[in-house]
Amino acid sequence: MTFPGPEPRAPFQGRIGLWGAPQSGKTTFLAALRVAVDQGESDWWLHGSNDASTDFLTDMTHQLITLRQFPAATLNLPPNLQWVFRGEREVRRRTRFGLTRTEREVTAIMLDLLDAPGGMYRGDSRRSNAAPSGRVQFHDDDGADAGDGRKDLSEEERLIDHLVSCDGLIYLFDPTRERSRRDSYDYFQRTVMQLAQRAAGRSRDRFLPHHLAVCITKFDHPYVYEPAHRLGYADNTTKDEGFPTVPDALAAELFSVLCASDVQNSAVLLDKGIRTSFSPDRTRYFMTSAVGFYLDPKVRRFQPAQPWNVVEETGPEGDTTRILGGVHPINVIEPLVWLATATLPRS
Amino acid sequence: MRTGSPACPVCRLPIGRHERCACGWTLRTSWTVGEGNRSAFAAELASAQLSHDVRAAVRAGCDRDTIAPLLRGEPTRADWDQAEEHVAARTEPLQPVLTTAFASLAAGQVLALVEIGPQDITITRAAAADPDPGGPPAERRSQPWREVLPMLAADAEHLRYQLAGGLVGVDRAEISVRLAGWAEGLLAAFELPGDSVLVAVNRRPGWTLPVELIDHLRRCHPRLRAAADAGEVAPVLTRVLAEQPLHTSYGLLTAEVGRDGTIRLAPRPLFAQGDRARKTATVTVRCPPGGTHNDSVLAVVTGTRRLVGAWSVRLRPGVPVPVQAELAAPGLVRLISPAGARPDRRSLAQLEALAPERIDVRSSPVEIICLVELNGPQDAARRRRKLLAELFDLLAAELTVPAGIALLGYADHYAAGAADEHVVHGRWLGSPAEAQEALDALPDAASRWNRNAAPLEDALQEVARRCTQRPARGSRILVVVAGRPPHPAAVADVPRPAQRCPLGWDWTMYARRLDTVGIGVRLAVLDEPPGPQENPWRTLGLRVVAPLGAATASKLGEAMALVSPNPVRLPFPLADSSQE
Ligand SMILES: Nc1nc2c(ncn2[C@@H]2O[C@H](COP(=O)(O)OP(=O)(O)O)[C@@H](O)[C@H]2O)c(=O)[nH]1
Ligand SMILES: [Mg+2]
Ligand SMILES: [Zn+2]
Ligand SMILES: [Zn+2]
Repeated sequence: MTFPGPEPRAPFQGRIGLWGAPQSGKTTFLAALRVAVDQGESDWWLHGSNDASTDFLTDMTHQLITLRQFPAATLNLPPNLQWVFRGEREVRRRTRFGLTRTEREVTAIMLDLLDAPGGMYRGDSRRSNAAPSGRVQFHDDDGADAGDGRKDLSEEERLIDHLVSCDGLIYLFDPTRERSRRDSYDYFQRTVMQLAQRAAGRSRDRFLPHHLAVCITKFDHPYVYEPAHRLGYADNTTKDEGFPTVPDALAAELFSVLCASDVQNSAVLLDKGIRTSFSPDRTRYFMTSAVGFYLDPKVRRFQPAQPWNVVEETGPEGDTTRILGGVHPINVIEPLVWLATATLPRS
Repeated sequence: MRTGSPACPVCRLPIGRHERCACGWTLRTSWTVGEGNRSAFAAELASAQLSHDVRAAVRAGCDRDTIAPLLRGEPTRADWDQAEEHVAARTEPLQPVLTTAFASLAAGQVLALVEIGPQDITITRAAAADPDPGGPPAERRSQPWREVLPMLAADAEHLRYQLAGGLVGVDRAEISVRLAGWAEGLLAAFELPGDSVLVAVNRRPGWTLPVELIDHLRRCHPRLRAAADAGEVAPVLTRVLAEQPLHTSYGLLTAEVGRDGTIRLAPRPLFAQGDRARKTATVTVRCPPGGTHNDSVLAVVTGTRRLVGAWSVRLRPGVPVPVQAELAAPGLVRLISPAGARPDRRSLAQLEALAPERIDVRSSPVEIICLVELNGPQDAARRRRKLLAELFDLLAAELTVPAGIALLGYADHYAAGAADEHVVHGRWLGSPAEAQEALDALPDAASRWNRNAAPLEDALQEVARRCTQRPARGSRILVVVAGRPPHPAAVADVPRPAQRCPLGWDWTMYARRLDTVGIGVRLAVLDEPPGPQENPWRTLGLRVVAPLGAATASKLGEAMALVSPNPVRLPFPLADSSQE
């Protein structure tokens, strides 16, 4: 008796949206994703779905690894950037004879970077006027330059449309920004309200239907690493180089702790907002760092006195940041893998 | 005419026991003149008399026609010509005689030069190596011949004729008596000490009365040296004096500041006793406190504190200034360097009165360690260096104690993203001028720099290391001119986080070491006033933390207690002790 092989299927096409306040690290995250994939720590790989997207990724990666530079804050992105995160996942499938068996299934997730200006998330009306160009402008400098930060109203709609159509969302929360701006709740709140208005009906429960990966970015930054280390969340025994990690089980708690460190903080509201808008079952927290911790080339081991992989420079042309050492992305693939697995319908 | 004693019929000298007169006339023979020879004798005498008188006239340079009536006879042209040939007299140059006389002169002894001329006799009184600058010594007294010998003619030409030997009609014996008396009474008459060294110079060699006077002088003063020299005396005297060795030392007047700030003026040796003209000597001095905008007085004085010469000059502060002088002559010093010195005509008393009794200074040596952040906003980076340049200028000008200045500039770790471990430049302890040079040689400010920290810890590490290696020669002072705090030993969760020092150095450790190496006085000058929590500056600016905009070199100097806010002007240079 022969059993027929698995029927060939078109790879599942899910959609993931990358979302976060300006400067929260979205572009760097993307570039680091490519680095992480190339460093071969998982079975997944990333490619552009068109030339522009492939070129963009190549450029960004080169900049990150070779030039040790972060993506420029002001940058015109090519339109229609879209990447495919492709891999295999295991699915349990019921046979014609009522048996179940485990199959490996090719999965491709579309990752769109609709890198919207910060003002848009905030619903800044000054920025909601007509834009001169059909291109999406990558412009993160919120508030400071309302003059050239004009955006097409339809662009905000496009972003919301995009997020609505996604199965999973990656939300980048930048604790360092929270220290100085305390405005992450504004970005979050505005977008979540609109999402709810458009997508709540699709949900089986009282939450938004999306899966949400909350990535606490810039783990290497002293504002993030220090409290994590001090409060005992960081474990540096799991990686060869001694890089600190936070067990997934503790990441949500650390997120709350980071948000609660200042009572006045909008992050407290953000924490609550996430828990009330997204199902706890469909939400996960990740401590991430796109560039990773600094690794002293002489010692080849993580030094707790020097976790920070960034050097802040200044000069007559203003402030910039540079990457100090090699790039060792932390928790950039994991959120995608989790979303790829979690968002698919169970067979 | 007096005929008290017999005289030579030719020259009128009294006849002594000699057979022949000094003029050559035979006064006595063993045989008497016979009647037959009487006319021949008369002719011979007349001829001798005429030739004697003509020679006197020629010696005296008299006009032939004017003098003719005074001659005994009428000379022919041949007589004049013959006389011209016979008047040449033996001379004895003055200079060697004077030189020997000066050489024999003991300290304090007076040299009296008797100058016998055609109108008068002049006595010049010269001490050995007179220290007063200028030409020949001033003490000259003249006496006209007619005062010595009132019987001589009043008419100058007639007087000359008489001095030269034309003495018919005057009491020749009386003259001799008076001349002898004058010679005998010389010292008393001119108030000369008994042990005076006498030199006589006959300015009219061959003239009868000057020659005779010298004879009298020799007789009365056996150690007298005589010369017969028609030349001017003053230049010879100047020349000889100039060649004399110094009888006293000469020095440059400098100020010495005592431990309590008291000022003592003391000459620094330039020329020693025995030194002679054309010798040069150098003394190294320093510009005194307050000298930046004031002249200093360079005064050369004798060991006995008499002023030889003084000059005013603006001295360059901060560096040893060589003062070079040449001994032109005893009492005459020429300043070779520094250039631009102007003669100062004030008296020594006036000059000395300019010096204060004391100045307010610290007395122990100091080491001033300056650390400067090289990079940062263009304007601030420039002003930091300018402040130090002004401080070095000020210290060079105002410091009265030996000071060593160290200057360390530090650039940036993490230049263009990469960690640079060699960021400290500069020079350890040196003079203010050397610190200034080191300042000029520091690298230019970079165009970009680390945002929240600069490698001050590396500079502090260098300070701690150097200061531990060698104990302090005096008190130590730290001056930090900066914009950013040091890198931390570990990256920390602070409002303005910074990367840690790539060498892992901990500024707090070196700051603690400042206490052990004796750096108690610490000043910090910051681009911006520090926040209340910025504790590096509480430690590193232990005495003063000042904003760069308000800091001046003089305020720093005062804060270091090195420079008085109201410096008392000290017009004399300080001896440069570092050269000894
Ligand atoms: N310490 C640290 N800083 C990061 C990291 N990723 C981004 N940043 C900083 O955040 C800035 C903004 O990143 P970017 O990717 O342009 O943010 P976007 O505006 O969300 O695209 C960068 O210029 C970096 O200074 C990271 O992994 N670690
Ligand atoms: Mg971006
Ligand atoms: Zn005679
Ligand atoms: Zn350092």
